[in-house]
Amino acid sequence: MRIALISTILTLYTAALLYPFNWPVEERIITTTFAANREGSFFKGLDMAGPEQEVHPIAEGELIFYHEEKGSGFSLPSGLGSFSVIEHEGGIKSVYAHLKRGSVEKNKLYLETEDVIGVLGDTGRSYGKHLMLVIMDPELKQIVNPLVVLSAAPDEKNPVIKDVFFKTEKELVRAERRVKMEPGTVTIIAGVYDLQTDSRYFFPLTPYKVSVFINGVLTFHITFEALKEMEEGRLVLAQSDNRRFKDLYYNSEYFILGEIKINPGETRIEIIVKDVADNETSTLIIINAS
Amino acid sequence: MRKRKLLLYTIFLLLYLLGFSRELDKELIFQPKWVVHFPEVDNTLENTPQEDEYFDFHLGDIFGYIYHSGKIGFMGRVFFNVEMLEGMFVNYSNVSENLIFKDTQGKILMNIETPGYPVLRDDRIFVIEPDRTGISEYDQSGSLLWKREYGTLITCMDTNDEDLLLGTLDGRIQLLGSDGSIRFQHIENESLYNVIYGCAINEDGSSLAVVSGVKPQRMELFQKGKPGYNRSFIKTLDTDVRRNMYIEFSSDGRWVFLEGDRGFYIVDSLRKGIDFIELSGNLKKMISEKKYGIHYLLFGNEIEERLVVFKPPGKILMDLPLEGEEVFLHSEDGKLFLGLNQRIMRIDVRKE
Repeated sequence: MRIALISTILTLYTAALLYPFNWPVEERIITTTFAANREGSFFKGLDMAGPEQEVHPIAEGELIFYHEEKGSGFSLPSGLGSFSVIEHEGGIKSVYAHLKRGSVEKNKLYLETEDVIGVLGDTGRSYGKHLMLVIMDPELKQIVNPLVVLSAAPDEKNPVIKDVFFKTEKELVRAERRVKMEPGTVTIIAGVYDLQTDSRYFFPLTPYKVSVFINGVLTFHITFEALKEMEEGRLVLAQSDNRRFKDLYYNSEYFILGEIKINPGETRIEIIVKDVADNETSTLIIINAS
Repeated sequence: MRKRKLLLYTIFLLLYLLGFSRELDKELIFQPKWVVHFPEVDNTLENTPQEDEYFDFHLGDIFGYIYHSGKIGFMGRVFFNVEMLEGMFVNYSNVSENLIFKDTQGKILMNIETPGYPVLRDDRIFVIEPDRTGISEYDQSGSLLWKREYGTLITCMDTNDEDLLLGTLDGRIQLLGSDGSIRFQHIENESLYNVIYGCAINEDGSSLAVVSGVKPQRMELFQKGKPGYNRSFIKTLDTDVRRNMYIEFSSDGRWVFLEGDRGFYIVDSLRKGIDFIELSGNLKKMISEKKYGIHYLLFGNEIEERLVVFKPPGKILMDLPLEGEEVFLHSEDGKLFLGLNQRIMRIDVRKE
């Protein structure tokens, strides 16, 4: 299973490097990224706000499903609004949600990248015009981070480590560069996010990788690459010790970065955060326990 | 001798009449009883006394309860969507964070804190995640019973008292028990593209019906066996539909009704036969009248809508053009309630 997982990720990486998927809309501001905290669950795709414009498939493929909001009495209620699903080579499926009502292309069944799926809209669970793109790998029952497979967009901004806290049984301590604590077990809680290059907009985005080193040893690592469906009917963060939402999010903006044991003496905690473009930010905290 | 012959003839005739006679197809009479014109809707309660017999309706952006006498029990405007059960409804917005359940008089019964959207079926309360990747069930007091998440989209569902049948975008059919555990799973893999477009379970849970796939598109029946369910019927359809399709069992479980892109399929699950009623446009509503074993179909396109009354396997009893952008249909114990635009009428059905 692990071999299959690695093989698929390698395939997706290779595909992304050799034949990256196209961006579905021309004018866009990324407002939410993969696995963000969306009302108590992992966000499954990529939200792109923008003006009303044509939406194109990320790669050629077959239209396998569509739904028009208020169009059929036999569909389940859907926060995706009017949406289309295209199946690409290898079975990868891409979902285009919140399309403008009545704009969904229904007659052209095989779509090239220059064809139009519909028009960017605000149907379904939406606070404004945007497109939600979801990419699914049915073979592995995974939902994939679109930023990993879309063609690279310019990004020069480093992720941000806003603040770090240590949670003990008794209290929540804000971590400065040097902290004095009693020996014992603490949970590391950190507010980390990524920023996009265009500084006119402030949308704190989910980073791509977060690692924690204790005295130079890697103790925690998560990659926001894919969400995997487990046998028991739970979505977990693949390749990240199968963490569930509640194991990762302390609250809407803060991550739980593992539990560590503080021994008497000095403990060096280094947190490294990367985005998809490999921009990196790190912070070092030294705990003196006595 | 002649008397004996006459007696034998008489006995034979009596035996024939008693033993082999069948009821002649009497004419169905549709008699209009009343029409209710909707008043201005302001989400307030009507001060009408409660009556025992009522039905829920959803017509365009208006919903509510109407008593069989023609009095309005409660009427409100739909925010984004409304789900109704006998005795309770939940009217919710597209960005709802709470589902507030109310009774037929509009009084609050309970609240479920969730961004999900409700589906009320067979006295059961389900909540679908807004992105369709999860489903949960709540009890009548609003407590979570179970939840399942998927790495794909849920495309269809049907229920009975105990079971929940789900279909997914990646071709899975799952039958979940009342605790959310998987009791049966089947994965479609015989089409070029394997998507579940519609699914149905009969009242006693002994049969499942599924419409799935593209190239080809097929309808399948599964019968409960030992162990699990076995495929008992498969029919390749001449349809090429890429959206949800209507599929449902008749209340006695014998017939399966399936929407096609140029009409309506009626499948006899006993004899494994299939009939087709050709109609133009899309199916908008389908309801059944148990008392007379008849069914009402509402088909429409941009030009016209038609109300078709048929009796399985495919006998059309009436085909009536209708004028109205919004249509509602409900049938109960020989009464047809037909809503058009801003009014609902009761039509009594009887045999003569």
